[in-house]
Amino acid sequence: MKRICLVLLMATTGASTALAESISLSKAVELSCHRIERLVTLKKIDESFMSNLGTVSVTAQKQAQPTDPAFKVMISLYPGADGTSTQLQLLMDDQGKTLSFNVIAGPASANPPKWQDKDSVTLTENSLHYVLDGWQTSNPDVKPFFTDMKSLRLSQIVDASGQTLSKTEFLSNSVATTLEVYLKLDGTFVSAQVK
Amino acid sequence: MKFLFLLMFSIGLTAPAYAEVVWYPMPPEAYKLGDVYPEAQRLLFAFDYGHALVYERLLINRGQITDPVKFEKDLLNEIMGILKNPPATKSDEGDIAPQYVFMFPKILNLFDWSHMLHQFILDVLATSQDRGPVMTKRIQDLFAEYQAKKTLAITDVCKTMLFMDGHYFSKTFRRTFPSFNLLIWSYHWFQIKLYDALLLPTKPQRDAAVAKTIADFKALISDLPDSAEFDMMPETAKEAPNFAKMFPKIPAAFDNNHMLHDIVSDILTSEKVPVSQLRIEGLNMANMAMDPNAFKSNSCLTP
Repeated sequence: MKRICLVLLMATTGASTALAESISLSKAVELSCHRIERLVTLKKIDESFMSNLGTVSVTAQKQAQPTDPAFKVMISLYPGADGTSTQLQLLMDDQGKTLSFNVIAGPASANPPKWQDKDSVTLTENSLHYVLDGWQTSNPDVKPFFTDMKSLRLSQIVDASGQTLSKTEFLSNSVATTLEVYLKLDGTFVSAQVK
Repeated sequence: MKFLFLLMFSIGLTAPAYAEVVWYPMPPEAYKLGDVYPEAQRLLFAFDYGHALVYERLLINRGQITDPVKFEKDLLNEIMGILKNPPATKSDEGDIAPQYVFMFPKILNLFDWSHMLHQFILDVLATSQDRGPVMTKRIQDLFAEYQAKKTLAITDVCKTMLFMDGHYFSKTFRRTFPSFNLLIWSYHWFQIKLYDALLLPTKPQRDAAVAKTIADFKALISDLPDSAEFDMMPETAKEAPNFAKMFPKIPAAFDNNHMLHDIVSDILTSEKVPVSQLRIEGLNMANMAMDPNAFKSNSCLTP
């Protein structure tokens, strides 16, 4: 009887694993940050992707079969003098595993922000942690950016006290508001607001 | 009298800076995994050896590694030799890595205590005749015993990845030595995967799953860094969902342990940490690992 119970438990848990839900759009973007870091570290893409990240957009893909990509993440560096950007396209499965990557060549970034401590990918990732972790408790208004994120933009600002901060603006497919997350240059959280 | 004082002072100077962690009484299942799955057990012993060796080499070569690629390649070759012929008994870290043991006494104690829990759970899963409630209770009892030692237990409250990646020295190790880092993540993957393999209800199923886990591990480390596709540290709830469902408090305790390993690697590699701060950072990070509120996550991975 005990053995039957355990077999049933294993069968049930196995089924739940097999039916694991797809990750959220924001989680896909966070995982893309990890992939960028890996690709740069292993010298598969240029290190400017670590230093000059400007925007990231994500779209869910229609899958004709389970092996098709579930997410397309487009990473754009700060634009060059002609306004266009070098881009990196990542195609991911429904658990955020990168299936392929493709660099779309463009000009070198013109006047990208100088990040003195943490790089642009780390700052982006740390901002995403606010979205991934903060929406359940500290700010329910953040939920649309967690579940239905559309894009983010990283920039540098100087606040009223003269402190340089990173500012990440998030857009969602389901609300017209913007989420702004501010971090110190060492990546520590300062504040966030939905506008 | 002076001589006696001098003798005692000398002993104090040369004695280990940490107290050996003892699980007493030792569980009757302790280290029985090796009786059933000797190759898996020997690999686990090799991981302990490999971890200690990397830490020691990073510490004694600190500030003198002019060619990180060569340093990584040479040490990786050495460690691959150990993995191909893993030890049959547990090595004493004090013998392999005396400087590391001296520098990070508290972290070492936390690792020792946590590794014993890891080991004993695997021992129970591999050997329990009862595959139902008796086995489950046995693991719960071991976990309760682990938690009861408040001065040694890494918290079972799950932390955000910022615990690992949110410090001024973070990510240095994985960026400087990507193959080492992926090797260590592969170790952790193997340890985690064994839980679900050993939870399978019949012995033939467990035998097959353990053999597959060993084969998959060997494939992961066959051509580093490309052979290990990890972008981030493997997490227990994701890699061993059945174990996480049955024992929902244990995965975070293990993941926090694994993050602490990466933190030590970063502290040892980062030039931002002065030598004079190594011990202090080690103590700070050990305290954070034990603190349920430090980097507490609101969105713990659930299977």
